[in-house]
Amino acid sequence: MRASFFRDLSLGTLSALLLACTGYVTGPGGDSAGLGSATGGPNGQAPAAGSGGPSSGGSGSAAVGGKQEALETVPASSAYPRLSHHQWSLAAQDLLQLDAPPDVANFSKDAPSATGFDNTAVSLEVSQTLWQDYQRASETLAASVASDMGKLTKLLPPGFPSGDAARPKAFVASLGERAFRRPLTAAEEQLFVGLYQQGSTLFPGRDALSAGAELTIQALLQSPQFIYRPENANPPDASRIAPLSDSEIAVRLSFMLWDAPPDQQLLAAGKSNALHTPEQIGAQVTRMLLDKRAEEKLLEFHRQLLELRRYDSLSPMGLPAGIGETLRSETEQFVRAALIAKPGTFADLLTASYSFVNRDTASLYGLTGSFGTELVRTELKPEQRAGILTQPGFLISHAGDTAPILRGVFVNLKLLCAELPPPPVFTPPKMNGTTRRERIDSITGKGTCGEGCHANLINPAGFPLEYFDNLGRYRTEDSGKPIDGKASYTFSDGAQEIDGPVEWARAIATSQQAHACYVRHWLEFGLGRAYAKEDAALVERIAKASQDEEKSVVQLLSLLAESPSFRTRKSEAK
Amino acid sequence: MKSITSQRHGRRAFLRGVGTVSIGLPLLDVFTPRKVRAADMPRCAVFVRQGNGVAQAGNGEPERFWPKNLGALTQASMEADSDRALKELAMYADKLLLVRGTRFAFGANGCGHSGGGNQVLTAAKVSTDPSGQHSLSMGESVDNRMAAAINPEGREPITLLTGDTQGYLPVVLSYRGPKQLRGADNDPFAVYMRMTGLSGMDSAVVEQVSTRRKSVNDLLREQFKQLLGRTDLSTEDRRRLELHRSAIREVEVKLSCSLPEMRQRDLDGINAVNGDNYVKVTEMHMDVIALAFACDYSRVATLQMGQGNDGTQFSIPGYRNGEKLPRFHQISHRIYSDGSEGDPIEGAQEMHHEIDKLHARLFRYLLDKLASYSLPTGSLLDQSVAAWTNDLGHGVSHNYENIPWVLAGSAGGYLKQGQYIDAGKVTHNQLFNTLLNAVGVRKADGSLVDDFGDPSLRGGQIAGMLA
Repeated sequence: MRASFFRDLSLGTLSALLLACTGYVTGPGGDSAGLGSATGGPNGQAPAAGSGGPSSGGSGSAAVGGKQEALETVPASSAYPRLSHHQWSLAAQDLLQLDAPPDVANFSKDAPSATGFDNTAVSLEVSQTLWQDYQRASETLAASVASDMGKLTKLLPPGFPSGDAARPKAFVASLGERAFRRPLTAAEEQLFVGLYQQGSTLFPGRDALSAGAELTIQALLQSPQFIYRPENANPPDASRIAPLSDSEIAVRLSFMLWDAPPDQQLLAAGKSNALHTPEQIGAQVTRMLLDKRAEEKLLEFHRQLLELRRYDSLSPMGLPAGIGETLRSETEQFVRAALIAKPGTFADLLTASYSFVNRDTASLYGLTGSFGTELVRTELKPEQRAGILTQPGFLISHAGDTAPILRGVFVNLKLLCAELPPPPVFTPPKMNGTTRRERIDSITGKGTCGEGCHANLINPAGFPLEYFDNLGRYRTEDSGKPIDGKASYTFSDGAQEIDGPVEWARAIATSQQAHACYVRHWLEFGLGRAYAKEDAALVERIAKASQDEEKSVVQLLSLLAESPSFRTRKSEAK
Repeated sequence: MKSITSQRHGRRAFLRGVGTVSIGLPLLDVFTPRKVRAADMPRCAVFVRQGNGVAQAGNGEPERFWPKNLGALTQASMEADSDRALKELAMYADKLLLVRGTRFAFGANGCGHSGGGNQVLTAAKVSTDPSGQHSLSMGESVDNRMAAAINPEGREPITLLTGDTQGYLPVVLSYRGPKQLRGADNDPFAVYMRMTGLSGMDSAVVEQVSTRRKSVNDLLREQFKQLLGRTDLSTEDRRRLELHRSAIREVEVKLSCSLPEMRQRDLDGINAVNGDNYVKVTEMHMDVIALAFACDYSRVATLQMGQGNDGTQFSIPGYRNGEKLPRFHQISHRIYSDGSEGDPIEGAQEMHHEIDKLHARLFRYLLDKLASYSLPTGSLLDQSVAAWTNDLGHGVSHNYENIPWVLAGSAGGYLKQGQYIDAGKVTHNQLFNTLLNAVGVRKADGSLVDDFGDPSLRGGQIAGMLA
């Protein structure tokens, strides 16, 4: 290899990269120095715990006892997280009582986030272009509602006055409270009433209610209190930590479980200060998890974590057009069945030996029998198939000559949260060998410069899946040689020997590392911020419940919502 | 000076675009054929970025990109270099300025593509944290500096992407400041609709909408006054809320400034994230950029063609029977071909060369569009500088040397034309200093810009680029 390939990397950096690949991973309780992009996001602020050393008990009112919970603290986060586009759409639908959420596909796209989720607050800003989109959407929605008496009546509070004099305040107070998820202040009310009253001038010829309503709706949808979910009610203590108000807890809860604003019950609980103990929160959570919106949220989490939208554009040779959407639908239905139809666990996702099959995918599963166009729940061969890692959508979207590496990287990053330093800049040599495994080994295995990262982490995560070809079909041979699906993977608590996909799925499903990783992702997606060092104790506690007590995924969400850190926020630096 | 209103009803100086509706410009003052020099007219800049480097000399491979000889360019000389990708631009020879010999100053932090993307428009350092494919630039990008200085109404630059906004390394080019990556828009119809806004509507209606917007905006500004007056705001929250607040503005509504109906329908109908539509979507983005310049909606734009390590599978009519090629990223590494017999390395270099030619033709499309708007002093292209570049030099080695800079247009006479020069292995911040000056940006004291990018770099312009 020519020296020029290392021009971009000093030898010191390169050897550091190789050292970093010797089985080191982040895990609960372990040294979390390698969190990299997980801390603080693009503005580069130092991890909060490192600056000023707050007392570790700073998690607000830990009403429930237990030494473990007292150690749980919270990293700094924004006091004004912006709604994601999806959340804005659901919030607008809720506010205006629309039949369907407004289409926001054309909203200006947010910059990508290191978490991979679309709702990480540090990446969500209101740029000029997005503001224009909010303005246009607000005007369109307001016009459509205000010009239709049937739609407008739905927004009027009970006992809405008949006289024009009292109407502005009644309309503004009622709709404003639902828009801001808390009662308007007197000053805010005055501002909006003033705008409402300009209705006759700004909409000449229109009746006062219709005109005033249209203006009010436009302004509410563009208000920062609608676009963001402020967490600024209570002042922070000396360690910059403040308890959320009950109304703020209501908002956090509803966006975490529903991606939508609080309903009347939740709003009322917040308003009457009946939403700050774990029991009070737990009761609401139980109710909320039964709602269809929670189902949608669970599905959306897996869509984003497992990158299911990538399946849509799959068009492998030999399979019918539109197969990508079928494969996505299969995994979505699987998630529904495994986690929602009955409260399933993380382990179920990885080990269940059924899926949803139709006539286009039956051959991929080696199934005979009559299938139609509908996907139907079907038992699979338990010695071949286990959960999401053996579904064709995943296998096909990570296929080709380097499939073991693609699949291995996915498992490491998405399911095990293993820190993988990116590959150094160089040209790999030509591959040698007959089977795909041999060829990958020839350029990344022992004796190559890729050995450090590939031998312990990447390749062993992909080799057990070599029993599946590029179309996700089970095979026992590759180019005339028997499949070698054995591997040794170095988990955070030690190496394990694996043979084949089912053993691999079980090993992941029973590992501390995978449960912690899954919980960590839920923390990120549920709270809309990146995981940080301060979250380690909380994640460890919930992961233990998932792994040792086999708590279901919805129970994990309850634990997250009932935690002390859920009820607090730490301010960022001034 | 006559008011804008009366001039609208009086003698009109139109920008006539080939294949577009005639556009009455609000910039009539500037474009009327009185004694106006090209140097006084607004100047525009557009940066078009291809990924994965180009097939140029290096790593034992022959030169397939640049012309054979430095110096003057003519259509004949460029066509004679028929094995070079830039021959696709031969008809623009007299407007081209090709600059070899610039490099990025800093190493990557774990991912060559990301480090290149971080620097290509910023000439700033690469972040130490975050690292890998999440690394970020430690400074603003050149389009951001340009837009802040020359864009009407303080508009941000147009930031476009051909491709998906999700992925390993989706968006790389434009930065508001250190680590403040700007999101890119990938749907040309959405961008177009946002830009044209109320144009084309009845003027009485426009008047009413504008008045209402002012009232609503006043209310919003009052709310922001309260919010920003709080003493408990963190620095980051304050920055974000301030960005939002400054976005609230009353926008002057342009007269009819639009694309032909049929073209609008094309934009509306296309699936912008399907890789098969790469060429079509890129051309649509280019239509929108040219229109934005012509209507003075914005004078600065960037277009990122393909993601950070672009994995598009091109099918090029006339090449290998139009078959779908392997992923561009893999081609650039010369490995993992489709496994057929034959020498894969040779095949991959030729594929890369063909993809370079495809991008050259796309760049030509943009030049055609800009050139189609004729001004009293020439064309919109002459008033602009269009730059086609790359966040790598040579794909295989992922190196940052000889970054391909293909410039067209003199920006109102500032830049040399019809030349292929060697800047002499300088860091590319000097190229940005030159371009900033070309579009009329100056330092606070009115002197020429000589210090864009990281302060540790040697400043100044590239003398060989000056007219």
